[in-house]
Amino acid sequence: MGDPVVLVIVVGSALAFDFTNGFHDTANAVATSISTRAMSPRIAVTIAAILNFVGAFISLEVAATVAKGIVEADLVTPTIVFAGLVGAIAWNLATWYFGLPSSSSHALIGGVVGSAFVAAGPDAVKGSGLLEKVVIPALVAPVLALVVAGAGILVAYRIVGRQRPGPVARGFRLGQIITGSLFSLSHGLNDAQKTMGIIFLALVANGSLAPGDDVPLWVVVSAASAIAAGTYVGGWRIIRTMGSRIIKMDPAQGFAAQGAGAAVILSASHVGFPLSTTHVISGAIMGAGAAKRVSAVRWGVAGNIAVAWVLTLPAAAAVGGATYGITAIFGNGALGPLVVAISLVGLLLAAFGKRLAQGRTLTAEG
Amino acid sequence: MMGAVLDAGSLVEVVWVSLVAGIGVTAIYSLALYGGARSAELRRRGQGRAAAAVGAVGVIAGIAFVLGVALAVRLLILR
Repeated sequence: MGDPVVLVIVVGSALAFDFTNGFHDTANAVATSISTRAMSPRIAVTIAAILNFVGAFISLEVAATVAKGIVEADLVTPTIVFAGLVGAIAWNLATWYFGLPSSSSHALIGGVVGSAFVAAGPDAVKGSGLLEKVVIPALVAPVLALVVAGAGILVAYRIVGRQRPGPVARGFRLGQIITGSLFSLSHGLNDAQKTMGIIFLALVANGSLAPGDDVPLWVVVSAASAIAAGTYVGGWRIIRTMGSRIIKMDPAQGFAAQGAGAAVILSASHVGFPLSTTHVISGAIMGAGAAKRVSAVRWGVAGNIAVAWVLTLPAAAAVGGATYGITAIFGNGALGPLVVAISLVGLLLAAFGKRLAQGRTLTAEG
Repeated sequence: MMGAVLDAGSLVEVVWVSLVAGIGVTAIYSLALYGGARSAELRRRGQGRAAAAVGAVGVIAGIAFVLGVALAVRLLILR
């Protein structure tokens, strides 16, 4: 049996990551719907939270490894996973603070790559896996979504351009509710499973479960609840960036962006090509804006987002590596992760305690 | 380089399926909206037959959209 203290810390960190994943990625499903007033903000995040919760139960085909094919699986220990989670959480919080949409999955991969690198050296990291699962998809996703959404909105304008704007706008708003719901369902299905996979691995490493066992119900329920709670809290800074700072969109553009985004995500998922939902929907929003008028896109904001995407992997890796280095100072037992976890909880309380004491929403702006 | 680490066939498949599905779903939904809006306008002008024909196009497009959404949910569940 492994150390139960480390197990508890890894499970807690995984659920914390799941929560940040939820509020960080809420924008993917709701930003365009809120921006075009297809739904009120509170209703949009409530629906997204419910569908994320439901999505987590649809399939239990848990991706049983973190950063599979990117780091040497045999070398991954619970402490490496913990340090990787800290790197991913730190990057999610930093990008949320600046209102920048970025990939939570890439942050998690980056965190684990960094901690594995520090723990076991460069041989622990598979460069070809990084290229295949992170770099190439990060290049393909936004460009493909941009082209699809751009072509889609041109077709839509061509078809409905001469009709009375009122009923058509209402129709596109209704369509956005459907495509946004698809996004939320897909997010719960894919991203909650990452957390389930992490907890499952930790339980196996601890000797509490055998590799062939089913995922315990409490793991499924806690992962689903954490991502749904995060989604409900809502990362309003990112929602604002995606909903109104990249382009000022009309309902047709909102529908084209979400429709194209959903199509690209589902096509890629069907073929087994790992694309980031965040990269896809961001590219689709830019495409829906640029097709109408290139200058309609605030390219400065788009540039900041692209910089965040480039920095995601190295920044999360740096934090993950540094976290592992700090835990290693305290030896191989539970003391290192415990000291780091308590310090981080203290830091977060110091950062958000005042806001919570004032009764303000945790992730609201200001 | 890319071909060495990635199945180029799957990349090409993602690109063309995304293009067809993404543009298709927007076009079909737009057609449904067009059918609804245009047929209401024709009905107001007293052009009943034309309104019915355009309305039928809208309904067919609407059904196609719903089927597309159902297919998407099925893909999600059975992936």
